[in-house]
Amino acid sequence: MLLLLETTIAFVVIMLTLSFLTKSLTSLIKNHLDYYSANLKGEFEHLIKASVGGTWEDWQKDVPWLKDLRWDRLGEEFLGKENLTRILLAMEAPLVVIDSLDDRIKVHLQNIKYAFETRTKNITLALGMGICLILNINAFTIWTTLYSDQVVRGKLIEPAKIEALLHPPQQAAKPKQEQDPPEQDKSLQEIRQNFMSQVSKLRTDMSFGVGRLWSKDFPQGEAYRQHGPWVAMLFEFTGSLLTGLLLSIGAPYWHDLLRRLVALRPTRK
Amino acid sequence: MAEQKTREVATSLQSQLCNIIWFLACWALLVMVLATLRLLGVTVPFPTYKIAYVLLASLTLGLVVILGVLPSTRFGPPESLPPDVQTREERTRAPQENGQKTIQEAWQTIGDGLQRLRDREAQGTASATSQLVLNLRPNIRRHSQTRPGR
Repeated sequence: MLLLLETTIAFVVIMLTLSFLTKSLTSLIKNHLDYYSANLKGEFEHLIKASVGGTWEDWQKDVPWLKDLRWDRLGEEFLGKENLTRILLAMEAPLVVIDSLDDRIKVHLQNIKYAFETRTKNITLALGMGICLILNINAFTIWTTLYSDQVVRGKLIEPAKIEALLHPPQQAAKPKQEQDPPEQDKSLQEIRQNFMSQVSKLRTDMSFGVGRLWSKDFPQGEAYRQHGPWVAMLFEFTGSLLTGLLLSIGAPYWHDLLRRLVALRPTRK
Repeated sequence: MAEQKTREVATSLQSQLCNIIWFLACWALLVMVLATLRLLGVTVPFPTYKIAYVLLASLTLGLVVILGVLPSTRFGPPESLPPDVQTREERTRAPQENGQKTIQEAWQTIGDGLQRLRDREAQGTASATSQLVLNLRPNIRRHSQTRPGR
């Protein structure tokens, strides 16, 4: 039972790390595409069109500063009641529209939130699947490796490592201007060297069958050789797809699960 | 507004379907090119199962991107116009129409009142006030004839 629990903890640690990677990439794409602003503009258009009708050209005649708006710099505060009342009054909207504005704003804000979250989830799903399919990261292989290799499992579930994952150090960020450039370069070099050594260690110690499909000697193992390369390929494809789905569940889920499992572990010992 | 809503949803679905068809067509073309190369005996440095993996992965990823990431930025149909909210055109048109209607109704009421007084005068039951109004009748009639709606 302890073996199963340790394997699960190690598996969750890997999933959490990969989820962090996917989340970081999603944030990068999210900031680049900036679809939040597009949603905000779309909902503003809907609200004004449903209130007074007309088009952007008509609205800009009544409220000239609308054409100077930088939507990428605006948040949902722009859809505040006071602001919209001022705009709608300038557009000669009927009083009945102003009276029902509060409820209508709530609907539009919910629409923005829903659209933003749904699209972020979809991007995470696509990215997770993309990473897993391209790098051939297979959850089944990871699980099997962890279950059968005690050394690897032990390295992954070291208390210090799990502690670092559960409670990342809250270092006081030193303002950029206070750091000397040579000192900054030195610390960056150290971080880089450390990262590279960690990566090479990870590659040698724990490959978990990542990218196995792309190696020249694929398929490896007795079972693979028995069933042939096509079955092995389908197994890798299914495994990678499933791993992509698991990654898209999100880092918070894996974090919570890890915390619960770690809390279980000492009582079992 | 309901028609507009239906039109927006239909346009969105149509564009999504169009994207899917284009993607599937490109993918099928790629498969056909690879199959033709194989039939012609052109050797590629990768085993067939690896190419099949790449094709399967690209199909899955492409569909996920088209169905999940590409669709319009806005989700859900737009809010419908509340029944008592008028558009700008309706609001500018309404006062003129309503004003004409009110004037017509007013002249109609005056005309009816005069007719009743006339009936009373004919019956000999008109009161002093009625007599006074009837004396003003020519002025009212003249005035009413110059107004629209009479």
